[in-house]
Amino acid sequence: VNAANGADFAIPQGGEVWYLRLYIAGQSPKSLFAFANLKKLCEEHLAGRYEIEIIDLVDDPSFARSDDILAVPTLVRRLPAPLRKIIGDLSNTQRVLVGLELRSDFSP
Amino acid sequence: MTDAVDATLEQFRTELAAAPHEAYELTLYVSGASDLSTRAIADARQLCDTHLAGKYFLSVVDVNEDACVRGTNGALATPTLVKNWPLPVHRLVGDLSDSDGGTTPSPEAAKNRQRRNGLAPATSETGPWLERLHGRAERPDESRVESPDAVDGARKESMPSPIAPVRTTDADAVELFRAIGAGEVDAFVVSDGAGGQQIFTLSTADRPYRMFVENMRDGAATVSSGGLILYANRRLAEMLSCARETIVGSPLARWMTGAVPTALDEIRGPAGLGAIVELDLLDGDGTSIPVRVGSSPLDLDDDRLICLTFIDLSAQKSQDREIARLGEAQAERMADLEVAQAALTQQATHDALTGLPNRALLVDRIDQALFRSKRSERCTAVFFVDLDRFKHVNDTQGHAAGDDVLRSVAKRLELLLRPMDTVARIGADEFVVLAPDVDSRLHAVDIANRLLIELMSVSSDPTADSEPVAASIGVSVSVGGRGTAEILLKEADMAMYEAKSLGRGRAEVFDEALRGQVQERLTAQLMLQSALDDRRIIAYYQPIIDLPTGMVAGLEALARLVEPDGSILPPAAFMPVAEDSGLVVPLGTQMLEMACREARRWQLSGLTPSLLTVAVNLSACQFETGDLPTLVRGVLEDTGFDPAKLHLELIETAIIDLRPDILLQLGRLRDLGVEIGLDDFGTGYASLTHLRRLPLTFVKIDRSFVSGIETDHEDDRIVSAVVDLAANLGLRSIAEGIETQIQLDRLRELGCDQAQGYLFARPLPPADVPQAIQHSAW
Repeated sequence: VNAANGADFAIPQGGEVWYLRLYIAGQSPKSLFAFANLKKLCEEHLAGRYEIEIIDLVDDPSFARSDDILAVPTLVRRLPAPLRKIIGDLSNTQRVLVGLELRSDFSP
Repeated sequence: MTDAVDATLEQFRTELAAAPHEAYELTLYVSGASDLSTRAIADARQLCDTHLAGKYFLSVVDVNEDACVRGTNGALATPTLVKNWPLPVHRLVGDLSDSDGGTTPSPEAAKNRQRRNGLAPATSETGPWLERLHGRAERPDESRVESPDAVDGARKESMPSPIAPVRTTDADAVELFRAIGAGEVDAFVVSDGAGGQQIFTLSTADRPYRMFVENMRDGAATVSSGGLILYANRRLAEMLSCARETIVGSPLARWMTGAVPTALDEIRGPAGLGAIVELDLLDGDGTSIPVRVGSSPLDLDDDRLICLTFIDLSAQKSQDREIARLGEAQAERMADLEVAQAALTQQATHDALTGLPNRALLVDRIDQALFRSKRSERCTAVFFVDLDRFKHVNDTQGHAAGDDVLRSVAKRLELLLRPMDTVARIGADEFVVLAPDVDSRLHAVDIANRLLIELMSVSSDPTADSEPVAASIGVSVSVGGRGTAEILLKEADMAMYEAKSLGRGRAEVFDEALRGQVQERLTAQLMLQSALDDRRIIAYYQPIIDLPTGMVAGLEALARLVEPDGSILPPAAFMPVAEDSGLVVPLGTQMLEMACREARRWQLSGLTPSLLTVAVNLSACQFETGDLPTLVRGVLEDTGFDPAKLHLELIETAIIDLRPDILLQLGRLRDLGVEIGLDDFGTGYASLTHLRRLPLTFVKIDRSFVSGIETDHEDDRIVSAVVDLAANLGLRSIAEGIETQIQLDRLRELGCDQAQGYLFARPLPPADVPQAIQHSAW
């Protein structure tokens, strides 16, 4: 599945719950930044129908394996399928929206 | 190669082997298009192609093009191959051509590798290290590989050969490198070689600082350029009464009140320099918390962040409020003090009744005026205004009416004057006007006359047709600032007295002639004063003859002044001065005491008949003390003289006003048993009303009528009428100044009761009195 070339990407439907998982490392700036950005973004685009699970890899680094996490912060879209992964602090909103298939008007 | 390079190379190889299934990111730093550079690029490519085929990115950076980049990876020399990923970073410095040589990793290193990644080496440990590395490298997991995107593909096609042969085989890797490149990542998951993972965070190095920030006593936060809170320390969470999860990720604006955008701009500060502002935070409960916000903008990888500190000012604010409250209270007290002080100053410099400046302030103003007119020919004029009829108003209409008069006089004077002039009240009915800048003496006189005219319109009762208060004015003028305030006031005072003595209701200007007169009067006053002090005022006694019997009925005590040389001065020489200066009061008292004492002595010694009376003259001034009866009673008690034998003689003009207070005192005197008579009757304005209302027992017919009895028929008729009148009113009539037998005979004929004069006896010194009495029989 290619995010970039699919014209019929998933538009979140009414009752659909988004399940997002954010991997962070303690309170590293990027982790916090990512969390903040994610929250804002979800409030704007998925208000009332999203769940964010925070996984702090400092607490247990082995959780990194479950989603093959290489770097922190990383956001994983578990639901709706398919799984999407965005590495970084999510500061590039445009890119995140496209990566999560929340928006289509991404032009390189 | 040096040992150091060998060791680095070995480490590099080991690291490459450590996580074979990861994508590698390598950077080769070269310097220009030298042979060395060309060879290094070729070697690096070969190295990677051989061992990391399909799972590496190799970028080539020419440090000559951008020297800055060298620093970013610590590439101190070229060529340097840096392995950026997987962590840890390793650098291989030097010519890479040797890297494919026969150097082999140590058995220990191989074992370590094996232990770490749990993989058995696929090739002999003794083989070339790149071969071995390559042999162990796993094929990329095809299931996880996402096809390279069109963009990257297109770039690859067009990419010129020596620079940036980036290839991607793994979407994660693409994403990762993008994130790394964008500076969005600050921690990495690294395989620990035993199937476990380790987290490398950039925070490790700055942990002490993080601890410091975390445990700060002030709130701290990191805010994105968009205003999102990225980090909040524990204290800030406490301040906002919120869980940190709530705070982080929320816009800063949510926690602020008022003009938030402005506040944010302020926080950012001009030119991103940071600023300190005070504003109110709003905690989770909606309570506002005053804080001082310090900021320091950070530029991290093009990402503008703002680090904020929040100092809770609640305690300080409440302290400030308390201080402000105390300050206000203090200010209030100070204001009260100022008011009180102003009142005191006003009190000290102004007259309470009229609000006019008092003497102290006047003196100050006069001195200022004199000082200003020095070295000029301008004149300073002082007008001493004394109300002629104030005492009368006060006595007949009461003090309230008197106060009204004073106030309206004050108002009139103020209205009349220029702003630069000063009106002061310096005594009961004494006002002084200071005109600091007048042209001449003539000008001053003009002003004085205008004041007189103005005061003529002030009356004690504006509704009734009462007499105007009127005033006498004394003027003194200083030319060119000569003199002092005291001198000017004294001169004006003198001129005022002159005006009064010249008939009131007029103005006199002080000049040298007046000074001479005043000087004379002053000298006379001093003389009289010293005579009083030295008891050189003595009484001469003139017998008063009972006409029916021809016997001496009494004595009139008449004042004489004994000069130091022993000569005797008659009353005419000093009584005017005594009246003017007020010395007539002590003089009258001395005379009263003297007469009572001597008469008593004569009585006790049997030298004079016990029925003999003593007449003493009273001046109107003596009533001004307000308690003449008490004084008289004291004298009578002291001397033991019989009150009934004491006759007090009033000058007719003294009682013309029939002032209530004088009438009262006369009544009390009469109650003592003292007889009261009217002196010089017929010369003044006494009317029948006076005769009836005053508690009199006798009247004295003025000598001017008596002396005319012989020649002037008119005088004879007047004396006759007075004698009849007195008899009809039950008063004793006494004729004064009898000098001839004819006069005596006529008076007896008219029925006059008593008489005195040179015909009987001149006024006698005390020593001659007893003998004169004993041998007389008229």
